[in-house]
Amino acid sequence: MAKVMLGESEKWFIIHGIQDDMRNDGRSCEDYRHIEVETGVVSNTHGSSRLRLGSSELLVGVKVELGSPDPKAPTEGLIHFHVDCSPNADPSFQGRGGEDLSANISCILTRIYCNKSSIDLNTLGIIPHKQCWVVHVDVLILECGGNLLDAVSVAVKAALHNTGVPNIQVTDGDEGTQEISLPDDPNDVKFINTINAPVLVTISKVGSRHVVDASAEEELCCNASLVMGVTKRGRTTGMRKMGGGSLDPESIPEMIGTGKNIGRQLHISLDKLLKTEQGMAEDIEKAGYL
Amino acid sequence: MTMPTDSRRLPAPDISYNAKLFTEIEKLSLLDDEEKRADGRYVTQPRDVFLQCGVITQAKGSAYFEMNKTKVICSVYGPKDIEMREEFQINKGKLKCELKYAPYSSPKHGDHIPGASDVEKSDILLEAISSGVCLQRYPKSQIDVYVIVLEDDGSVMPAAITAASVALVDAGIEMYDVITASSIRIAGQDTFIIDPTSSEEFSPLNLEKSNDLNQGMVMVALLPSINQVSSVVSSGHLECNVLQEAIRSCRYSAQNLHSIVRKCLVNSLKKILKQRNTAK
Repeated sequence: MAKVMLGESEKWFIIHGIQDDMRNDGRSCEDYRHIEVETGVVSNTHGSSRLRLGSSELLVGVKVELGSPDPKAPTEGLIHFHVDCSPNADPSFQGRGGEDLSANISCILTRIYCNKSSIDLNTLGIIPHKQCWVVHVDVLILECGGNLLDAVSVAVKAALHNTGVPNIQVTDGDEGTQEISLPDDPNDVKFINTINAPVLVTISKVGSRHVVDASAEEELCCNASLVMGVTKRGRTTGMRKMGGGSLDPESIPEMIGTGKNIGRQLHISLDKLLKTEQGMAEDIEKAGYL
Repeated sequence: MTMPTDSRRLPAPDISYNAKLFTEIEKLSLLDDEEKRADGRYVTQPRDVFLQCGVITQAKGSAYFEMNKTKVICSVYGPKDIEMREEFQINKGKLKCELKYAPYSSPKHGDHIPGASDVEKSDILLEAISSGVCLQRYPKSQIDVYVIVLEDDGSVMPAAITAASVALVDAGIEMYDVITASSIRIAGQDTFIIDPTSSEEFSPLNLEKSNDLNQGMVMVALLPSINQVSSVVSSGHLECNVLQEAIRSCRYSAQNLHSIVRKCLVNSLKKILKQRNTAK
């Protein structure tokens, strides 16, 4: 993802270190780097979050708009993911350079959220067949420091948790039509329920061991990795193998098991943080980019 | 729903709907009373495969893969000089894959507007076949693989991957092994439906009401002789042990495809040798 150059001997150093469960920054194979999450940072959005994982930096903004539902699912709302790789992160992302990476990340996000259980889309419906809420999730990647997918998914979950959908009232208008009226109070919102929202865990195969949360250097030493979406209850909502190498069929169940356990722990920590933030709401000073 | 319009084709009126939406949609259940599917197959029975290589004479290598109504054609060009100087790699070649859907391939017109999902599918295809190709034998070169889906009736990715690997062999590209792939639809903890058609495929919009939350799909691409997995993709909400079990079944199904691929390649070689002998 990011353009980091490593010589052959550096790669072997990292691989041998991982074999002995010692990574370059002293972590063990299943440790994450320090994660900072803050919600409600962008005022023009209905929900937002900022995340810092190691040296990866992202900003997610969620806006909800009125739209018409998919004819095949008339009572459900819609959710769209869009990822923008800014040239801040890497000069090669200028113009159309970051398009491939954006397409991959947004497709993976769509895959893990696109099922009946992750987000209850029925709560986003307004008038069946005519109106529904369309949730636009926009991810802005400001810095790439390895393990972008995990960072994006955690930030998206935090932003969705922070998203307030205005409470709409449907009244009968003239001639049998229905009219919708928005509340006057901007704080009259209903927050999106993210209890089943998944989080991505990337398990990279380095040598004969697998590591979680690979840094940019470690990503260069790994040929194949498994990205899986894990819910709070430890169920998977999507999985994809990435990288040009091949995986041993015996190691796949092991990697899935690791991903499930790590995913659950990640959810516990994130939920605790989001709960604390919600509770503090007015009192805390947003640190933002200071 | 605002969808990006395809600027290269004449647009239909802004808002046009498929007539089928207004008719009664008959929801067929996946399995009837005799445990048979809509097209009469059993749960573990894949569709019959027709595979032929050398179908596009202009291309270095090509393959046509057909499974009843899923038709995929692949062509391979190369090895040739690398196009963009930046991606020049001294010690190994570059593989470029492009997967496209023909506009008439899906039941609804214009369903497949070239967008993010096509880029992702091309990348999945690339990752699936990369591990089989000996790229270090083609330094500073590029090999192009183009796959077009002529008709989509489910299991398109496995068809594309298998066709691409046969086309690469037909082009004479050195490989460690062919790549075969298969997909499975999971409709419950114990129901694994091999090689689903498009009506059986997983889509959150056409799920039947079921008590079992395990609904999804798994695709596995395999290098059969050396038993290595080159691609795993899954979607839908699945428990981990169900997922692991599905991957195992999928691997078994992909392994069975190996004999068909081998037979096709051997027949093609026999034909070429025969033509050469008669030409003399």
